Amino acid sequence: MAQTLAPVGAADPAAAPSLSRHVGALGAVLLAVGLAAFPHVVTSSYYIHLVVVIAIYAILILGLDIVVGYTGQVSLGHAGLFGVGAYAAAVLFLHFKLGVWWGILAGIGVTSAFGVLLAVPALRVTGPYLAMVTLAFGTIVQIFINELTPLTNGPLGVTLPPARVLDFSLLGLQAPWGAAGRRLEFYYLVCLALLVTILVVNRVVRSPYGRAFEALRDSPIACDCMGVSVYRYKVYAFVISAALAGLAGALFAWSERYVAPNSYGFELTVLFLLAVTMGGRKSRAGPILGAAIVVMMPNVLADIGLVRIMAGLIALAALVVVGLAFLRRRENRFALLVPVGLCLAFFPATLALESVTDFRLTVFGLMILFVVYYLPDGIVGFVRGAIPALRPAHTAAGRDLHAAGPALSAQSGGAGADPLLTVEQVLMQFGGLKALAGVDLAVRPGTIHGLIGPNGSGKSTMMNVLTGIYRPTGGSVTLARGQGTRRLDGRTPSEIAAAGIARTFQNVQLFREMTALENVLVGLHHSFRGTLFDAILGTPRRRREEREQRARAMAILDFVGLGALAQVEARNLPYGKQRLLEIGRALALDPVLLLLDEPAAGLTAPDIAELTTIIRKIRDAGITVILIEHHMDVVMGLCDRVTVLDFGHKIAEGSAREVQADPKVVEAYLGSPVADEEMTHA
Amino acid sequence: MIFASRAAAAALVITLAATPARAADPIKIGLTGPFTGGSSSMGVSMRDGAKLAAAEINKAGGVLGRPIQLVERDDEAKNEVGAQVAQELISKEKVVATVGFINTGVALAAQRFYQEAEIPVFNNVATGTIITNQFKEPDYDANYVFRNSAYDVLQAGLMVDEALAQGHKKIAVLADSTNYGQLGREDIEKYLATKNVKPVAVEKFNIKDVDMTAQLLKAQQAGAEVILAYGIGPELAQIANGMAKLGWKVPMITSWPSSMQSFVDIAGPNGNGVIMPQTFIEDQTLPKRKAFLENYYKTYGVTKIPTPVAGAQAYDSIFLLAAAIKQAGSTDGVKIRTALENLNEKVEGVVTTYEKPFTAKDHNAISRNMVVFGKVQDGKIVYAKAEDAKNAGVVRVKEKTSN
Amino acid sequence: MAILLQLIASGVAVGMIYAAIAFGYQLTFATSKTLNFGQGEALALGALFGLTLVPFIGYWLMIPLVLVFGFALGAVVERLGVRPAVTIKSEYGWIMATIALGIIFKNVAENVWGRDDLKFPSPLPETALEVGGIRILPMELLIVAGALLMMLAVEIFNRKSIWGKAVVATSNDIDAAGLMGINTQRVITLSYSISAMTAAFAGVLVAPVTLTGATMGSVLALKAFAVAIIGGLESGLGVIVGGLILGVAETLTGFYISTGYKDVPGLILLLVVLSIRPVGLFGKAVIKKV
Repeated sequence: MAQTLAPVGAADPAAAPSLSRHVGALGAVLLAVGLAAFPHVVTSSYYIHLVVVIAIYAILILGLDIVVGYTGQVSLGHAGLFGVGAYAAAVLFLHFKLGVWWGILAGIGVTSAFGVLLAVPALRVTGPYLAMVTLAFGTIVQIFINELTPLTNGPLGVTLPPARVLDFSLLGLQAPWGAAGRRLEFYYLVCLALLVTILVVNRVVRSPYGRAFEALRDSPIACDCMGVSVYRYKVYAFVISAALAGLAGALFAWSERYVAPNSYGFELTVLFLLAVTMGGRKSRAGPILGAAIVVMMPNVLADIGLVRIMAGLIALAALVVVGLAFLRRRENRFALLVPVGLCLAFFPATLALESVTDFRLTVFGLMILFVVYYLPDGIVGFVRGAIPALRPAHTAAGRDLHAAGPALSAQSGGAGADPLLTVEQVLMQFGGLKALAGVDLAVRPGTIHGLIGPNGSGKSTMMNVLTGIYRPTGGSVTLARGQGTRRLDGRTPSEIAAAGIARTFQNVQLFREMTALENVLVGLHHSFRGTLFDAILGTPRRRREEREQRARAMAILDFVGLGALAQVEARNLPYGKQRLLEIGRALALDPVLLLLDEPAAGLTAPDIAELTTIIRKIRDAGITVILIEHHMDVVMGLCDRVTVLDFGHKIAEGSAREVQADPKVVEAYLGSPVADEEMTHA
Repeated sequence: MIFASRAAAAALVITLAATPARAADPIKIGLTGPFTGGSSSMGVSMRDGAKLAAAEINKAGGVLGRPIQLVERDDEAKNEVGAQVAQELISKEKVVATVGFINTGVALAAQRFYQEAEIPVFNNVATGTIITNQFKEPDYDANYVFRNSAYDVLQAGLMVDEALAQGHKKIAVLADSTNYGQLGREDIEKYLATKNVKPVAVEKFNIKDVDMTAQLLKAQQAGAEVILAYGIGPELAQIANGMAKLGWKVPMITSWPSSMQSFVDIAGPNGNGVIMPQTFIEDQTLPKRKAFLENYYKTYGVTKIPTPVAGAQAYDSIFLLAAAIKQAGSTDGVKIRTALENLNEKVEGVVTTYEKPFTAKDHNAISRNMVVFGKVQDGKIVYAKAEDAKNAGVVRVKEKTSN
Repeated sequence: MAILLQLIASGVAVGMIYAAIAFGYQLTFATSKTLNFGQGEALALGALFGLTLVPFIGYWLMIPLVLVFGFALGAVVERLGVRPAVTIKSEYGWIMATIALGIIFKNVAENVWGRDDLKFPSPLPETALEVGGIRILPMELLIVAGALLMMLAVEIFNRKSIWGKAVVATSNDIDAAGLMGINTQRVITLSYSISAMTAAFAGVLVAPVTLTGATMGSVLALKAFAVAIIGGLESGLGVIVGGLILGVAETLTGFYISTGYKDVPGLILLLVVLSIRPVGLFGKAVIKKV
């Protein structure tokens, strides 16, 4: 029984500026041409090597950006991964005399495996704990490289010969471009690797994988409840990032031709993080820019003349920033005075200094502070802020968005089965507190089932048990699917979501930095069949899926009345629209059962009217709804059946009218001595 | 007001960008070492010694009528930075030669660029034996790496021989975990093997370790009668302090860096009696040494050189290079290398008087007879042996048949 | 047996050094969910500042001045590094900012006090005491006692003084504390000040047995970070236990396995602990609220 609903009001999505897509393509072409021409314009081997190092760092930092920018995790272990890649290549040469190509393969392969290893302890921790886990990982790698002398040659390091990229002697030929050209082979190999990396990263972050990464950053819980396993996608992110670090490491080994354990320590990690921050997260240009800055910085800082120029520019920029702050009467203008004063004082200080070597690190530190203060989104972020046309392409992509396909597809979940969801004697205990003390619940298919009760009665706890966020202390939860049934207690949220239960949240849990359309696309994650390789290769299947699902997502947005706001970032939507978007996102999961946790909270009367219409339409499409709500008129108007909870016990159940008349319910709500106290509840 | 200051700043920037051209084209010599971070005390002594030499040469009219200009670059004791600095000095600054390197790893990572560009590179502190052997015949036609520090094989041999001469058969070897320490440890073990002695304990420690109890207990349990330690000042001092804490008194022979000021300071009385191979002892017996020390103290406003050996060797390295450039009559790298390999002039340095310090095959200026044992005594490094002290005023010149 | 005891004694002394520094991480994490990655430099600056004062006023009189110095330093770190980064809602801006301040402090210290590691005159005799076959430096005893005393003092401050109570309140629920009229911003500054103060104090405490110099804190701070994480960033008992575990693990591994792998068991233990308990040994498991 699949029922279709026509989209409500097919409003045109706001025509977003699409210059960005062309800017990206233009940038890529310019980069490719620039890289190709560079060694013919600047023949100095120093500058050519500098470009090679920048490109190699850029590859690693593009990968780091996936972890830092997209999944929002701080990794202090990337220097270790870089070292693993470099050593994989070097050890292959040391023991088997295998060249650069094998080195690259081994670098990527071995480092990916290490990425998995790193992800295991990193999965469950966040913040400083994650920073320490990755840091510990990096340190351990360094110690082992140093100690495993038979394998790695220990502290002495490994020296490599010049890389032989193309071996013409195998064919009995001479290189057609002569000895001078041969020296550039490696340069072009690195450039090619960089361009391929840009392409791969671009495709991955715009694929369902990339959306999953961003989703788990913005709200891990909602991500899990959309059937997108946070654990699994964190591993994916770490592995992709590690593979790129391995590629960079292998290239680095063959570029420097000397690897030693002490090259891959904590300071290098800080440098990488700085490059991401300074260049700008979530972009391709940012990491390249950041890489260029951190590679060239030591050279700039070694030269007092250059430092003075730089100090002058910084002082100038500081003046502009503080000037603007005062002109616009920004609140923080007085707080800015201290750092700006420091920036200004820096300039005469460089004039007084004869040599900057002794204070090089101070300058370096000041630069980091400057970035943190004034460029929190990096240079690219700053430029994008100033020029809207340069905003990232994937949030603005698809002017030609049109809705197609059904907004809702009802699942044949509990067809005939009665009830659809059975909860038996569920017990949820937090320490000594029984938030649910053996509750039974039966939800019939195709109904709207209300779940009400005073604050602290256990409604939200029930919601969290049903969606797997809490593992119940006792009892069972069973969902009827097809002919059989499936136990849900003890399953993870993403498994439960995949089984067909979708939910919204009491405190809105949208993916804030993603557009409304992308939020719904995360909900549609389950309908993408393409693998990571489809995403990387950009196969026809991948493109067709993306096209179809975007159209489907538009249909869903139209259904909840947000079609016109498809390209607006979720955090910028009005509150009422955010609630509707959450429902749309949940519907994208094609659920058999939809749990709505206080959807009307904080809404205005017209919004509530719109909401009730939508909920009714959802029920009419055959999707069963459980509704937690405080607005009694909403509950009474919508619910076919209502269960009342109080202090973790079910005190009443029946039709809305029956329940309303129940004296126990009245007592619970209207203040008996017991109900006055408010238990803290989740 | 904002615009005014902006304009002023812009004007300043523009003035600064236009650096005035110099009249006499200077001879650029690269000077690279760690000037920040953990091993910077050696790096800075080295740098200051070299600057002193360059200033003296320039005062006397320079070389080939041109002043020497030292281009200082901090390698941060990091291999990749060292490699980058090398390329910058070669391609951008166009130096005619480079002196420096404290850390063996950095030297190994950076030297190949000089070798490829055919520019001489002069190690004045780093001691890894492999440094001057990186580009040896028959793989390379010519070797552009020179050195005037006592390399590890020399030091290791001296340390082991001293231990055996004192009559100790049970030897414990402690070395730091960097490639400096580990290469030294390897050389010690190799040399011990030729003497048919197996060390009773071989232990490692990390830079900045604060507690050496585990290492020392292991050595003590193994019944060691003497400790050979390969590391740099602060950690060597921690070993001396650790031995005092455990109340364990055996002789301690270390690699050269226990003459660093930091060793003397940190070990205090516990450091007394520790001996180490030295090319240079801060005494004022020779007029040249006296002048060098006084000049150093005066120029940098100190009463002691933080790492005397580094300062002295760096000072000499500039004079050696200047002599070679003079003899070559050119700043061409190949000619300077050839000149260094056949230096006609006797170069009077503070470590020794160099008479034909290098040949095409031998790129180490220091031979075993030029190294004496120094001893820590009440905060100073003195000659460990009476006969060395007696002969302090005699210049030890390189043996003709060196290894 | 004597050797084992000797190793454990050394491990305990080293572990208490780590614990004292790790304690500083906790203080700021509790109030602001951030911590000072430049803690090692605060320690070094405290020790170097103390070293400058010792010749004039002696070791014991120097301590209060170093505490004041550390207190001021912490406020500077909070105002210049943490607050701007937190106000602009940068997820890891504070990490970069505190690292940056640490780099600057270290570099300035190198230029003021020189690059050499210096000797810190010991206030106690430097000959080891022999207790039951094991040898301990009097200074090591002072470190253990001093570290415990310092943690106790902070704990008493938190329980008894009105500012301390504000700190505790802010740690428990920063929003609620703010609504109760507590100036949480100032409390965070205070916690940074106390944190840097404990670091500076730890600096003068350990300086006589370790090296004193601009880079003295780097390795110690990293180890202490590991200790804070093993113990859990929320528990005072955690840092002591974590410190002892790491310190003893280091010396025992060094003796019984290999000095080269000395640091490995501690770090692996850290990874294992976090794989099982993501909030550390003594951290409170939080119930997810949705």
